[in-house]
Amino acid sequence: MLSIDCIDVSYKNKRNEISVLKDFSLELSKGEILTILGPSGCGKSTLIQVLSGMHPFTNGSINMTTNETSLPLSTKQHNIAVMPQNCGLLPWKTVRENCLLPLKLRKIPLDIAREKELKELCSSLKVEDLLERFPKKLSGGQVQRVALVRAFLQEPDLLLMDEPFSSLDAITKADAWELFLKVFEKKSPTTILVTHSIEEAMYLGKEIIVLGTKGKQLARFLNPYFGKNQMEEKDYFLLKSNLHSLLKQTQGKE
Amino acid sequence: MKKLLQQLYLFIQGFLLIHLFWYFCYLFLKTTVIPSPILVYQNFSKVVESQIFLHILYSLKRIAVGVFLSLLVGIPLGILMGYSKKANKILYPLVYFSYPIPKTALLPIAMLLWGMRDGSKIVIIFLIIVFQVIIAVRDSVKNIDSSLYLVTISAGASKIEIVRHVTLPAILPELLTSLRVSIGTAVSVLFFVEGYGTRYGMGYYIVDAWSRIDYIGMYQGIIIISIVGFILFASMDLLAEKLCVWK
Repeated sequence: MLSIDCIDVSYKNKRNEISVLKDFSLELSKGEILTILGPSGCGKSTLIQVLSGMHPFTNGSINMTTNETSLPLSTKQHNIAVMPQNCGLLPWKTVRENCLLPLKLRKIPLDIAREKELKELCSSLKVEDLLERFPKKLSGGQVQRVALVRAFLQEPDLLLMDEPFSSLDAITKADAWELFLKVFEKKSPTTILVTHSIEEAMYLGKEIIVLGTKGKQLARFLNPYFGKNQMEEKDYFLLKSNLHSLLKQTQGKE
Repeated sequence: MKKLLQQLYLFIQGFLLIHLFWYFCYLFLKTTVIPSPILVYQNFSKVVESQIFLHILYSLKRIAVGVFLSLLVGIPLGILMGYSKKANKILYPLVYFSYPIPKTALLPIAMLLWGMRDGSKIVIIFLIIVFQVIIAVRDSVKNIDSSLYLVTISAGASKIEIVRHVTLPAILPELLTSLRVSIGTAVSVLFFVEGYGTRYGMGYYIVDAWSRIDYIGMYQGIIIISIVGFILFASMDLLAEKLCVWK
C-alpha cells in the first residue's frame, strides 16, 4: 500500500519559492490503478517526480508497505518503475538493453525465468521482433509498448505513468490501452497514472482523482467504467461531462 | 563501408582539384617557390629515405598526449559545468574569455614555462583542444532529456551508474565531432610547435626543408602532413560511426 501523508512540494526559482503541492495526502491499495486527472500546472507530474525520487518534498511522509513492512518510499528500498510522457527509452541502447536496464541497475541477474518473462512480455505487447533495434527505428506505438515491457519486467512495487499515451493517435492509443490493461491484469502493480485526458482516466483508472491548484483534491471516486468503453451509454456520458465541467472550473480559477 | 567509399571519393576529388590548381600555378607563375607537382612526386622516394615515418610518429605522439590530456580535463569539467549551475557560473566566464584567444600566441609563455622540448608543444595542442571539449560536453549534458534521469534514478541508479548509462553515451557524438575539428587544428599548428627544440616531427620536417631552400622537400612535407591530417579526420568519422551506431 502507498501512503502519502500531508506532503508539501515546492520549486525554487531565482527570487522565490513556488508551492506546487500543499498538504497533499493520498492512499492507494496494493495492486490498484489510480488515475489522476487535472489541468496543466496542478502538480500531477510533480507528484510523479517526487514519488520517483527526482524531486524532494518538505513536511509529511511517504510510506510504502510491501510484504507487511512499511518503509519510507525510496528508490533503494522499493522497486519503482516510471513511464514518462516520451517513455524515456535510452537512444543508445537497443530495445533489449533498454528493457533489461532496470534489472541491471538493481543487480538482478538475468536467469532463465527472467529471460522467459521478457519473451512472454514482448510477445504480449507485440515487440518480440524489435529487440535488436534502436529506439530511433521504432514508431510511436512501438516505443510505448517497449516502455511497457521495461516497466512490467521490473515487477515494480510502484508503477508511475506520466501521460504515457498522450502522443499517440486515436487508434494506436486505443490499442496501447488494451495491451496495457491485458498485462496489468496479470501483473497488477500498484499504479498511478496521471493524465489530462478524461477518456484515458475513465478507461484505465479503477479509481479517479481530480486535482485542482496546488494538488487540492476536488473529487475521488471508484470508476465504474474501468476497462470499458461505453461511450454510447448515458451515464458514461454524464460522468464524462461532469469531469469536464470540473476541469474547466479548475482551469478558470487558475 | 558506403560512408568510407564516399569519403574516399571526396578525397580523390579534392586531391585532383588541388593538384590541378597547383599545376596551373606552376605553369603560369614560373617561380622556384612553386615547383611542378610531377617533380615533387618523382622525388618522393627521398621522403621515405629521410625517416619520414619517425617524423610522423613523433607528431602523432604529441597529438595523442594532447588529446588524452584534453579529454582527461575537458570531460569532467564539461560534465561539472553541465550539471552544476554554480560551477558553470564560475567557470564559464573563464572558458568564454579564453576560447577565442589564438593559442599559438601563447607559445612564448608555454616555452618559458614548459621548456623547448615536448612540454610546451603538448601544452599548446592541449589548449587548442580542451576548450572545444569542455564546451561540447557541457552543451551535450545540458541537452540530455530529463526523462532519461527519471527512468534511471527511479530504477535505483547511483550517480556513477547515471554517468555510465546516461551522461557518457549522450555526450559521445558531440565530443567526437569537436575532437574531429580540433585535431585538424592541432595538426595545422604542428608547423609552429615543431619548428623549435626538436629534430623530429612533421612540422620540423617542413621548417627544416624550408630553411635549406629545399622547396621540393618542403612540398613533400606539406603533402605528408595533409595526408596524415586527412587520415586522422577520416578516422574520427569512422570512430563516430562505430561508437554511435544508434545515430
